Amino acid sequence: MQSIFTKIKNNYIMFKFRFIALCFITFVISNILNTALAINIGVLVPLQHQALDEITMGIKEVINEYNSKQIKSKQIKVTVVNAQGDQTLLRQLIMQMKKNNIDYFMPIGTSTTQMCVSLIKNKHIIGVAAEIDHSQLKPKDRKRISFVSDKITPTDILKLIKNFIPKIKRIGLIYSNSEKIFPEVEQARIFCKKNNMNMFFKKVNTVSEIYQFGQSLIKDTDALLVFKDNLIVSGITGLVKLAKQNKKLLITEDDGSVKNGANFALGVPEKKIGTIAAQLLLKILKNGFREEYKMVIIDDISIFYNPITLKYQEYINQDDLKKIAKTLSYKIYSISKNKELL
Amino acid sequence: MIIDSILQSMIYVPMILGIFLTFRILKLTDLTADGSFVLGSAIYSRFIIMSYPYFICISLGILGGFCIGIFLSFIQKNNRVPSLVASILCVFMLHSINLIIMSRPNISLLEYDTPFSILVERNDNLANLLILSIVIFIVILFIKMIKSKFGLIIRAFGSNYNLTKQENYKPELIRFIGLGLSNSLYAVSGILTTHMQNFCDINMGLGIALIGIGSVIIGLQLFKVFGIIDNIRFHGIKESLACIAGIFFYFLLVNLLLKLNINPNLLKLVLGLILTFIFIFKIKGLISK
Repeated sequence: MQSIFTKIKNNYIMFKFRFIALCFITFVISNILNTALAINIGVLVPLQHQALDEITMGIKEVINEYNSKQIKSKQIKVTVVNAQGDQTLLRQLIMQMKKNNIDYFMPIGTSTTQMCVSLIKNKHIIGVAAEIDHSQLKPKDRKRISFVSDKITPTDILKLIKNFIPKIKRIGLIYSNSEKIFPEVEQARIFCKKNNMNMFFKKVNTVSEIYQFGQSLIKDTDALLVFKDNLIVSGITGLVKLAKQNKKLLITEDDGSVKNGANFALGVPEKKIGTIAAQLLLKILKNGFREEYKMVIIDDISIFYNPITLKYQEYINQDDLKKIAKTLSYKIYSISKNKELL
Repeated sequence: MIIDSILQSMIYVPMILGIFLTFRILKLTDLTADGSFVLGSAIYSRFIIMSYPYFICISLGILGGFCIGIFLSFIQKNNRVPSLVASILCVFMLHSINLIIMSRPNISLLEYDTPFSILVERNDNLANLLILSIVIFIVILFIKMIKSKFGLIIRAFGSNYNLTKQENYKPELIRFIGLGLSNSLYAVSGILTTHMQNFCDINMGLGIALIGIGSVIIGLQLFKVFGIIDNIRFHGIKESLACIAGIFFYFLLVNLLLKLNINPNLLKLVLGLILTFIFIFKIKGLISK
């Protein structure tokens, strides 16, 4: 009796083991087949950030739409990885993607793109929101690397302030060590000097310094200005609070900050950058690399304003912003925390 | 995966040896790895774009690291400032120094040719072999130094500061040279990393010291668990190899977790838990001994 029970028990264990092994093998084979039958895109995100999530969302939406229309052609499989702000981890992720037969790489940000270009030698790379000039690349790399970037410059926003918001006499600029921001700060400095604008500059190293530096800056200025700076945008809530308390303006360059309370922004929707990058990828897939694909600059500048926080200051109102948008032929959008882009 | 881990970890070996030198041998707390790592890279990159000869750029990068070590030893002289405080002060200052040297937060070397980049274009494996040879050379030099009389004197400094004074070995000179050497090694790792990634970024050193210290502890603990080294005697060669094994193990672990498709948001949590388990195991091992 016992031996029969033992026999049944052993058979059951063997059956369970074989069943699990079979499931595992099927899973592995299907994954391999899936990968082999699809075009594999690797999106590399340098750190956890709302703006970068928007870009990724833009990419995924375009790819999903493309996939839904494909019957005979290969599907596109998108793999998104996040390096959590760790460059060592980023390097490992790129190497792993290289091993996993990723066909096209879409790194987001300048240093991510630089690392990708250095480590990936024979695949196409589309650098998204990367401040790299195509002429910086070696000639043999130029036919496999493209860049997608927005055209917004510091002078655009400063010209707008100078020409259309005369009540603003003194501007406070808070910025970080980001490689993207550094040249923009220099441009702002030169512009202010030429145009006799009073600008106060405050550089921060960590998120915790943003509120503290903002506090000292807001007393001597009419408006706080923040460029498209990942670090500062992470701490935008503190600046929103300061601006509200002191009834001053907070101006930024991204729609995400406006959603979180900044008064208005001049820029390109982050999601659009991702959308355009994905559309460029589809063109390259269809036509191969062409000269016009090497650099795509998005010059579709828009004004985003927050109708709720705009009421807390007296420098500008909704109607003024609409007039400015009409004069400069910009689109204008009203957004707040509970509403999407309208 | 093993080969990948070797290739990824080898550029950090000089840094690991530097941390081993300060923590285990000199018995000083030195967190300047974050700053000196970037300093070496910054000086190298800056002189490359200024079209200086390649070997001068490397030498100046290493010299920069050595100078920081000297400055650090000056702050700590006669133990007037605790080593931890001194290294934190240095890290703060290095951030600004690196920015001044680079004049911007990021230097791209994509368009510049170096012997390494030329090799990479011909064959990736040749380039990796070159870096591996350089690293092996540095390891051999390091082990020779540890096993020499000078190495013995440095160990004496770490074990008993007063004894070195009594024996007229000038402890402050030992501190000076020891910290200079360790920071040079951090700078070498920074330069090797720049070779591999073709750019220098002001934030590339963030977390490096933590990875280094963790790897040294993991490596030493692993070797103790397998009975290769013990807590009683100092084993120069074995302990150096233990540190190298530690950094290899760290990268192997991360690669394994990535291969298992662990959500990168949870990666550091999982890694931390695994390392915590190892440390608890270490404490248990100590108690049982």
